[in-house]
Amino acid sequence: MTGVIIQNTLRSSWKQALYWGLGMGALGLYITVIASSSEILEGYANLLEAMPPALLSAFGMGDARLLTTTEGWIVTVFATEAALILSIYAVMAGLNIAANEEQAGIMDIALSLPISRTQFIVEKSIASALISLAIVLCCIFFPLTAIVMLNIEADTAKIAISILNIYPGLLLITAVTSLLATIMRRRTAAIGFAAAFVIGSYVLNILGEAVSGTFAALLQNLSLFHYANGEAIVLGAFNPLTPIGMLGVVLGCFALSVIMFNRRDIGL
Amino acid sequence: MMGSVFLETYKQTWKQMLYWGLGLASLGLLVVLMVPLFDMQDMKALLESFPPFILALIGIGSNLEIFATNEGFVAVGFFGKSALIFAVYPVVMGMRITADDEDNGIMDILLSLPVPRARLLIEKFAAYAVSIVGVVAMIYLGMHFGVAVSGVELDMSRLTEVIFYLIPVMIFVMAVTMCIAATVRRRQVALGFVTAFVIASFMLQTIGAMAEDTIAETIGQISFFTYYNAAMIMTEGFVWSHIIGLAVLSLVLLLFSLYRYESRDVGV
Repeated sequence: MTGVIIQNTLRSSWKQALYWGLGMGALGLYITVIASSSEILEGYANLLEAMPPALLSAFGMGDARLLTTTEGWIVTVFATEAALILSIYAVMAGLNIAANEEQAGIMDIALSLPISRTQFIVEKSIASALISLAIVLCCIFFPLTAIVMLNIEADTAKIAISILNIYPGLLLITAVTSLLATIMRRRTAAIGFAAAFVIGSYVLNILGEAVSGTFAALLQNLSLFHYANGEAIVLGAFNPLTPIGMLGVVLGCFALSVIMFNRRDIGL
Repeated sequence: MMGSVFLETYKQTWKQMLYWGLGLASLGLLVVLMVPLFDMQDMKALLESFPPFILALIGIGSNLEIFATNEGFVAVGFFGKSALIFAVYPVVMGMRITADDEDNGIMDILLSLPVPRARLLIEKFAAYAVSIVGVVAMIYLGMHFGVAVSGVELDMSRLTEVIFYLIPVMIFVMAVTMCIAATVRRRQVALGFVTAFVIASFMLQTIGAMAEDTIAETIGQISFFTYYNAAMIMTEGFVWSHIIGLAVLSLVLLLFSLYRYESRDVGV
């Protein structure tokens, strides 16, 4: 493990990370400014008082009390949507681990260098995880800067941790995509299955929120977005075992990717 | 031969259309099968007891009858919240019109055939537009099948409008993608711009809807997602001014793409 592939991947991908980080950061900044309006928060406080919880759940607003505080509003609107938006990046990052080089027909050249297949996948995965972390840190930095500079009253620690909670979910999508790409070899097939995984997961979470009962809870438990949101942190219901469990699954997927990649022919 | 590019493109795309259509139709089917889990008892009476501003906050206008129905919940809960998902397919297809062939280095070979550039773009655009109609039709069939097998009471007439309203929106997204790809040439850059456009549109609409009577609501009007408003379609049906507007914009983007693509070098 020399770190040469990590360095090379970081060197070739830093611009992509910068654009994603700046884009998401700007979005976070905009949402923070909007969330500082007391009129919006009062409107949601009135809504919460007027509507029974069952009806709020039916409209997918089961945690409407989150929207009555600035940190809750930022986390609900930004962190929740950022988890979905950044899943697009995570799929692209997963493809970048092995599939893109195979598709371009240059994987054989890369593997003809004195680098083992294991080293290639492991270092690419580490580089990808570092880039994702940089993007998530940008997502935290911009809203917090706005809060400090505009003197907005909000719990910055809760916001930071809530946004950071997206990270294990991103790693999971990257790891699943990487695994699919090493199993299937064909890039388009891997994209299709990864897209199905993300879209299916998102819809299951929406449906789980909209209906009540144990079946709904079961559906939500199958969705990665159920675990990768920061709302639990603001509500004080955060379970630290959730991200630890997700990171365990991520490591398992990456380990499987290494095994699968070591066993099969390379696409030329 | 006129139509040869159209036929060849369609021949190469029908499988993708089928897979995407089946995937999205399965989601539609799942939504229909879950309708009995919605707690609709006394919904209308509850809604009638709320002041108008609260109804506005949860995305309901004055027509309460529709929202106290299963189809109202399906429209707002699934089509309203999952709009971003439906933007993925037209982006993938839009990239195929020029960017993918240029990136694979085969566009010069294609253009060495006796096919003018304009005809190539128009016929490919038409073939992918037909595939969009196919995907949307499959979503409709999936929901219809769900109603038939489950016996759920679901008035498909208004829901049909919500489903088929996707066609002009998806064709518009494809036209934007084609226009960007025809302008910037490099696939990665084009994909970056299109992703930024779709995500920014989605977030501006989401934030605008959640922060009514603020500047965010005004800014949200520039998002194309604002013109795919499931709640509005349920109450007003097809809004022809929006559909014509999207169609005209798509046509303008197509013409601009033709102009740009005629006057630039092709990537090899």
